[in-house]
Amino acid sequence: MGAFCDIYGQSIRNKVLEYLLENQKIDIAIGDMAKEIAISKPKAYDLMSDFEANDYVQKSRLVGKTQLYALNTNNQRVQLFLQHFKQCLALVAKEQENLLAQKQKRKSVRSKQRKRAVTAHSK
Amino acid sequence: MNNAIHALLTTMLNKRYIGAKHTPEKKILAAKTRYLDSNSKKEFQKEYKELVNLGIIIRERKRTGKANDWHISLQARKLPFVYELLQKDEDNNLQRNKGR
Repeated sequence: MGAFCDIYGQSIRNKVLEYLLENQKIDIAIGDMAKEIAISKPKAYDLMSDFEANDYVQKSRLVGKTQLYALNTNNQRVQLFLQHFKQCLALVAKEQENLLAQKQKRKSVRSKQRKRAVTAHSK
Repeated sequence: MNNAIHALLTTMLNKRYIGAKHTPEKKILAAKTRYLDSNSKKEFQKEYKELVNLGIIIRERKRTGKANDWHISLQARKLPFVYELLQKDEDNNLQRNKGR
């Protein structure tokens, strides 16, 4: 799973939260969400009804027979979740930067070693 | 920025689809564009093409089973740019909401 679940735990509730936070700007369908996260549909519907009761999620529109849901960004708790999610993404970007910096260091050290070997050989 | 593009980039960043770690293109694009109108789908396609041309999203053909599939991942060196893009988009949205 993603960085959010790595930090806050791999529970099914956190997986659903993470999915909602990733798709904060678009509408989602519960069946599709269950398939993508690899959880059972009854559990997905159960959790979404809980989230609706807590006002984390709202019904947005109907596409054919499919009811779509969207994250309620006006809720204060959801805003807290969004802040934490932002920080998780910032962490991922930082970790990747550090990895790249380490790789470049190793490259420069190796190139210096090769130069020394070449100059020693030429002497 | 199109909302589906925002969702795509946040998903790829969160799940760390960076560099050699990639995901099938069809699957992830279909998931993000399933319930969009035709106009927003066209916008999405345009912006997605731009991102690929800028080199932010790497698109490679990978061997899967007996055939080939297109897979995508984020360019590791352009990650700070991706994060800034997402931040700018959210700041713009905040300003719009304040104005209302």
